[in-house]
Amino acid sequence: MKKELTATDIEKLYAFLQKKFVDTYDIQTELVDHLASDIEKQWEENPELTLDEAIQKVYKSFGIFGFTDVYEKRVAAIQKEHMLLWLRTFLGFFKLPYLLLSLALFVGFQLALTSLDPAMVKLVSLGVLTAAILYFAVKEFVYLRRNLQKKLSIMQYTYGFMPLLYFPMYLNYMVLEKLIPEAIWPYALHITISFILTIAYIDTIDKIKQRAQKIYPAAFA
Amino acid sequence: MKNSSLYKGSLSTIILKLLEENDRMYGYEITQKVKELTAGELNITEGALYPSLHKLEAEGLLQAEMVHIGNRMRKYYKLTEAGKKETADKLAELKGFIEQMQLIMNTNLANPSKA
Repeated sequence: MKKELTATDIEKLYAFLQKKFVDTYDIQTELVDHLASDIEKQWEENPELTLDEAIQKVYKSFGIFGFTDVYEKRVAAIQKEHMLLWLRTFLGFFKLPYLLLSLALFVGFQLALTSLDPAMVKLVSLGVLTAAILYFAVKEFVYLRRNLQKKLSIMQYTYGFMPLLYFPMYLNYMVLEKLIPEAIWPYALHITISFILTIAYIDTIDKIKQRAQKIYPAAFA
Repeated sequence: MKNSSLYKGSLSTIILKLLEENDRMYGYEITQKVKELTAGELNITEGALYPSLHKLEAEGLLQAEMVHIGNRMRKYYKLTEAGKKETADKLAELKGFIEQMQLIMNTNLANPSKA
């Protein structure tokens, strides 16, 4: 009869990976299956081999960097993918039909800046954006605390881009005021782009979350 | 010839080609399939295979799905529509490269003094 790993053995493999600094469920699960498949093959040839001996044998095949290389490259690939996804969603706002929304935002801000107190419009738009980001951050934090039961590499690097949204807005206001104090449209354009970046960001996070839930339902409550 | 740099540059193409023929595969299966097809001559290391799979997945060329196998989960990869197109492009590129290499090799063999 073919010797197979028991549920306890599988738990032992998860613990082994945790000890080797692979601490996210998605990468652990893939590597556990790899280790298990290899161990079962080793048992076909030598059923007397202990689990620990078989683990060490397959671990060696990952080379001198062990799992570190797999883990780090996975993280790098995810970060790059998320940035590209955000960029693609952002660029989508310059194509029909979303282009109409972008134009409406721009015209709205331009009108507000010319007919109301520009300093107030700038302050309010910045305030609205910051409040929206903070609300989103708190909402996501609560959601993840309540629902994400296992750490996922495809989720954890997603929120690091948040500061990218509003710091440039503060800085650019200062730069614009120095360079072109008279013109109004650059401010309208700047506020529009900041808003679109934020909407695209929230949409990107949503897509990533949906995909994570679909592929790894066991990680969610 | 095992694990030479010639193979390393073609790892993505090997993965795409195998997935084109096998619909869906998991990591360990890919390493075993390559070993079997090359009669043990080519050994894809795990440290190279998984980063390649994850890169292709991040590029939207592969799609992953988790399946229960006994008491563990298995991650299967399959080609997306973009992946199918990329496979055709990569294979055409590789075929062209092999043809050019053969031309060069044959020329050298016919004129050993110019090699």
